[in-house]
Amino acid sequence: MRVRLRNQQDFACGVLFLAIAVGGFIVAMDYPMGTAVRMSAGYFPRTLCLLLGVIGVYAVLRSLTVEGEAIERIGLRPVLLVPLAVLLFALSIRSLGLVVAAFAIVVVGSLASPQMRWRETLVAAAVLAAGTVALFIWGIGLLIPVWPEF
Amino acid sequence: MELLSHIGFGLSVAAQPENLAFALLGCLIGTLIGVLPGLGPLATLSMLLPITFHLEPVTALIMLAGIYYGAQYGGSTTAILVNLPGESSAVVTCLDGHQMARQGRAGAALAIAGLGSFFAGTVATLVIAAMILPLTRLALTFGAAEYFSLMVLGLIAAVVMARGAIFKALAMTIIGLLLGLVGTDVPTGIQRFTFGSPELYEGLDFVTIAVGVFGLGSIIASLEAGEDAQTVSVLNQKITRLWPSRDDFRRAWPAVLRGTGLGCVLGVLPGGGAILSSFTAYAIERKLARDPSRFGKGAVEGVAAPESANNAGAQTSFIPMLTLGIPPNPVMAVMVGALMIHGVRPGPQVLEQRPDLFWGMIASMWIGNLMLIVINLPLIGIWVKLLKVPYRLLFPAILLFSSIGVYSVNNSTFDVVLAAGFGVLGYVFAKIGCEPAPLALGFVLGPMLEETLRRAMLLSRGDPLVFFERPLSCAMLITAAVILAVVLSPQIKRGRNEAFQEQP
Repeated sequence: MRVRLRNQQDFACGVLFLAIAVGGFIVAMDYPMGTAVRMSAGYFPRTLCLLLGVIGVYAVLRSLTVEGEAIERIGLRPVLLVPLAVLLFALSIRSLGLVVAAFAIVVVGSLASPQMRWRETLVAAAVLAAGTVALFIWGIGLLIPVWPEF
Repeated sequence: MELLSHIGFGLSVAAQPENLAFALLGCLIGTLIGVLPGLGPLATLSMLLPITFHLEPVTALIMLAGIYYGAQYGGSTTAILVNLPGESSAVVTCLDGHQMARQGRAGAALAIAGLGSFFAGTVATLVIAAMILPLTRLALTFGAAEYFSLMVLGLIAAVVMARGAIFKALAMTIIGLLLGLVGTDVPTGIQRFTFGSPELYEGLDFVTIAVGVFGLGSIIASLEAGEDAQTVSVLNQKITRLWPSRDDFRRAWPAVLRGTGLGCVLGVLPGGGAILSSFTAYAIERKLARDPSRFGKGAVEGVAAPESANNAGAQTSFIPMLTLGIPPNPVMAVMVGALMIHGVRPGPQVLEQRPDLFWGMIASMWIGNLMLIVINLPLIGIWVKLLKVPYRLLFPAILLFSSIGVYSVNNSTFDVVLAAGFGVLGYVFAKIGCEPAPLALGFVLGPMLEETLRRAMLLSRGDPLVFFERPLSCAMLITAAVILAVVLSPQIKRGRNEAFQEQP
């Protein structure tokens, strides 16, 4: 008998929930369970993981029986570029300063949009960099370097 | 008059120049994000949370509160003019508000929404002031069992209110609870789910999760959907007459009264707040109307009632947060986070220890509503212009602001990297039809839930019946079970799906 997947979204949910539940449970095995009177560190997380696992199994079974929505096509551009922009910000903020970090996140982030225009983006980056330096560093007094430190 | 002297004291706190300035700032930001579709109060509050670290606690709270109820005003503007809910509680306002705009009555719709919200805000402020003392006294009688049951009720209510399948919302709540456990387990000193990285010993930060899952996640999802195509401009039509006709007033005022009353009640319930209030208010108006067919074709009641209700509900949802320390919805969960940053643990004891915080914020709500009516009605043209800013310029700015926000909480680049990861997770959730709001509530309540469970079980010597032996606790658990059962029953399920399908 061939099993047909009727609901991609539910199936993916089930797999994700099960993965978190099983992973969480294995990690929580290291924590002592305690008793119902004196619960130790493992009691609550293991209970939660069990519940989550049950829901995960339900979702997988449901995806095989009840018709449902497919997962729409994944737009790789925003999925890769938005987190990348944030990562670049994280990497540069401490050593290269806010101005460089702001340019990095705005320019790389903007690339995630198909309507991106270079001139406009560079102007926006400059304005935003100046604005955030004025607001966050002069205004609120955050301790973030403005320029690269050598 | 005890109440009057409290309000007077609150006004004296709220009227300090710094507090006034930040109330105005909060209202402006609230209106801004209310107007802009796709940027909700939850993401905004979490982004701005770190900035409030540098303010006085009462000032911070005043500003954050202004953002939440300010968003209720701004959201209606977009709903009426563009037929997009600028804020999710304005979904039902689209139905009749936009039709009114099409008929050339945009000004009247905006004015009714604004005036209704102002009336509701004024009443809700008084309701909060009146209810706080009795509720605080009640809260002081709460033991661990009651707190546990109340949180369970709140979580279940959030599950029921979430869009999409119930089992997904339940799972999101559990994932939130699990995320809340990351860090050092206080009673045993054991590091849980830290994977040996010392940055996690203190636990995950709410800001990191919220900015990632709500902020970044929704940016990725919007970009993929091609958000720019959505910014349709029905905006070119000039708003000429702002003042509603006499007939509009006659029809609107009973609806405003009903919406206000409903919002005040629903806001206090666990899972309540602006969204629940506006949906229910609209449904009730349609039931009560002599001619229900007018709805969806520009009935002024369809704007007046939900707009009053969402503002009233937004404000009264502060009550459980302030008196019990338990957030009834995810936005209030951020507020709890804001108080914690300042070392204030919300709960009944705050009223004694920090009366300025309490009454100052409550009084500021009325002042804020007064500011908002000015910000939104005479200055409406400015906000209309803002709606024309394309998304491709908007989202990089949001990215930058939120990253600075996350970084500045602990001056930690690790948190920023985590936020990027949670952004991907948020996108995955959107892709597989899981609404993340219950996750936020679960995350905030997780540690408290575990602590009260442990305490209650210790006191009862391991007898789980303790939760049913105490009448209040028992009543709350039964309520939670009943709403869950009702929503899972097949007939209601169908009705619920229809109700949520009205959202575009």
